[in-house]
Amino acid sequence: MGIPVKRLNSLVWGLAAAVAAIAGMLLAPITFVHANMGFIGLKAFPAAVVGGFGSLPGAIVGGLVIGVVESLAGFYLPDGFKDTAPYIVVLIMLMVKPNGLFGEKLRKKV
Amino acid sequence: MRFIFKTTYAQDIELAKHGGQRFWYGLLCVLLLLAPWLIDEYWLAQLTFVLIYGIVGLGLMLLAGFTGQFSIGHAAFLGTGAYTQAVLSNMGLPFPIAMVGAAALSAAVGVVVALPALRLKGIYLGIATLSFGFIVEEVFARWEKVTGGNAGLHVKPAQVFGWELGSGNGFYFVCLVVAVLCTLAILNLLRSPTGRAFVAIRDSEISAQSMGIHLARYKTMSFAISAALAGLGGALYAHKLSFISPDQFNILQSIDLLLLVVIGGLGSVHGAFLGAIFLISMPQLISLSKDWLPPVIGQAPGLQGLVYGLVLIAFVLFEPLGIYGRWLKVRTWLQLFPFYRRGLFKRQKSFTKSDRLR
Repeated sequence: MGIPVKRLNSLVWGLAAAVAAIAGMLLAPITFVHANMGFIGLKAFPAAVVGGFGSLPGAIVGGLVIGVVESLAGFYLPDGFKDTAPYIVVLIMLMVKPNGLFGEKLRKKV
Repeated sequence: MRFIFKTTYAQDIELAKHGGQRFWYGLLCVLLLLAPWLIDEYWLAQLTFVLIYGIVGLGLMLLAGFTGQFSIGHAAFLGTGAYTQAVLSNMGLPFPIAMVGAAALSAAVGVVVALPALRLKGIYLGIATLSFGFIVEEVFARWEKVTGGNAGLHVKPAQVFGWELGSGNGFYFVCLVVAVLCTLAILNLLRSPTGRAFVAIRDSEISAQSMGIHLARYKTMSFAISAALAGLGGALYAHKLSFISPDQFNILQSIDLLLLVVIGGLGSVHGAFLGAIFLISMPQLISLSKDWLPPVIGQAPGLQGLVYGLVLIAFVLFEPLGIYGRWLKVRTWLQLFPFYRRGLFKRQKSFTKSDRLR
């Protein structure tokens, strides 16, 4: 169809990295910056899954849900639940609605 | 090139295809049996670790390489096995019974993980198992009554009916026997209808389903067997280190295990052990090479991570079939000497690739 696949692939990777870098810029003033910060990125997966892959409002809502759940768990639940709460939410989400809140249902063609 | 003249159907599923294989594997067995007298204590310990990681790798290989279900939380099963073994043997149970307990509990946990995993594919499954890994690690750290929390847990030396194994030669032989038995069990499984069903699920779930394979049952079974093997490996790991703590079973360990199967070669039993050799010998080689490198590079703190990352990228880009795939190519090149073509392995590769991408 005339779409330059390779160029667009690189462009998408670049854009994704740029958005992540913006998140990093916002994160830097409020947390402690260190070399093992990559683990924070792992929490992006729960956010994307809860919202549903392939949906922009989903990403925002998912991020909000994960953030709120994490803070509430840190405050109300016993010690140790703060770090695991997002993952528990994701597991429940995947069991109940594997496509996320706003994800569209894709059918696989044979 | 060796051509095998088959006279019975049983020859199709024989474990050793020809005399050459019998000879080489027999030689390997003899060398492994003589290893305590051939190499010194330090390298014997490393060899023991290779065997332990090989067992865990076999489990992950069955799941990722033969059933096509990627698990990024396999350290959780390893940890479950290790902690069960530690608790049971500290209670005074004999070593083999504790090991059976460790494998059984890990398998049970594997079934629990498989339940949500049945509906998931690809990256979703990865995230589910990743989340599970995090949760289990947190459980190890917080359930202080049983696991000792972040302070860790000491494991008594392995005992078989009053005979203490320690962690040297005796323990090496235990690991060797368990590793050989596990390998034979996996090889046997893979030539049985169950193993064929696993491979069918990997190649295409829809066609496997339409051939009458009960997806849920076989996926659960694969998870359970894989977790049981990881648990066995974990049990041996606990005894070998004689001290376990939650941070040994974190996400990095899971990634190491995934690295093991990818570098060893997905979809080959050899790959599990080749990957284990790679995983154990790599840090040794890096620390050996530190003396040779200029101090600016040699003393840099992240050297190991950097080398691991580069090697993984190189393997994914240039040799997706892993070390065993490379060996197959070299062997075919030697067998067909002047007639080897570049594209000889291409077709199979693109087939599995298109299927994985969905």
